[in-house]
Amino acid sequence: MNWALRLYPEWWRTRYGDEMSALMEEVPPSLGTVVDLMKGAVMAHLEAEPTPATGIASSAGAIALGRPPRRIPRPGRLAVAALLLPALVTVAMGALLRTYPHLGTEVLPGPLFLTWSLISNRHLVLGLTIMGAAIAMWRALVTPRGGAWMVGAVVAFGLLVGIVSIYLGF
Amino acid sequence: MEAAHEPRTLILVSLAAEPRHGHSIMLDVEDFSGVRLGPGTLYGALQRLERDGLIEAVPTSDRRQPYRLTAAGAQALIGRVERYTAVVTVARHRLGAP
Repeated sequence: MNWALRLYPEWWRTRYGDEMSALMEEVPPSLGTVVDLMKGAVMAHLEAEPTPATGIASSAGAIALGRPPRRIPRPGRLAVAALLLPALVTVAMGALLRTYPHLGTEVLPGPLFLTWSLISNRHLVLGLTIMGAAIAMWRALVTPRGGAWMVGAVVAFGLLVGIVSIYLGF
Repeated sequence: MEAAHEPRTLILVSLAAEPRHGHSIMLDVEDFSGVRLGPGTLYGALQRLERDGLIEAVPTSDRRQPYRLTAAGAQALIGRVERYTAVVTVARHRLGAP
């Protein structure tokens, strides 16, 4: 199951990879363990990488040093999620209806009624752009350099490209 | 208030007696609480506890890294135990249990 460790961020593998690998040699493989590792990997990606001044040495027997590493504040994580989740839904819907256009007229009822003409490339462009903006925003929050200007610029660029793509009918 | 079965609380309890490595924590927690922590959950909790200064790694040459409570971790555990005890006391009183 060591392949699952590749899902974790590099800084995490540097710090915990050896001992997690040793642990997994003692834990019988199961679907539940794989799901648990995948969930852990997602959570690890939401954690801020420790900075050198506050980080944790990677050798065996390492101990935590100094102040705890900086974390993304909860509002920041919620803002990223608020951007990312609708973008993921948009992209998923777009990809689904591109693959199965009849779903738009045969399956989705009432308010969910969507047609091929409504879900097209422009929605994919918008969804992907907002997704990219959310990921860039997250990286900007993790990396102290850049700060609010970088976040604002990335989000504004993402929204601008998305809105323009709709008006131009991509 | 953190739930008594929350992974970080269970790990603090496990480390209260002696330093333990990951697999030893898993077995101990399952033994005293019936909760089986997966490797992802376990290391997510260990990372947050270490980040918050409640546990620390014990120097070793083994791949299996032991951890121990810090003074802050022991204090945090005492605080949690006191809060749980207060809740249990009220529950026992209201149920008429001894």
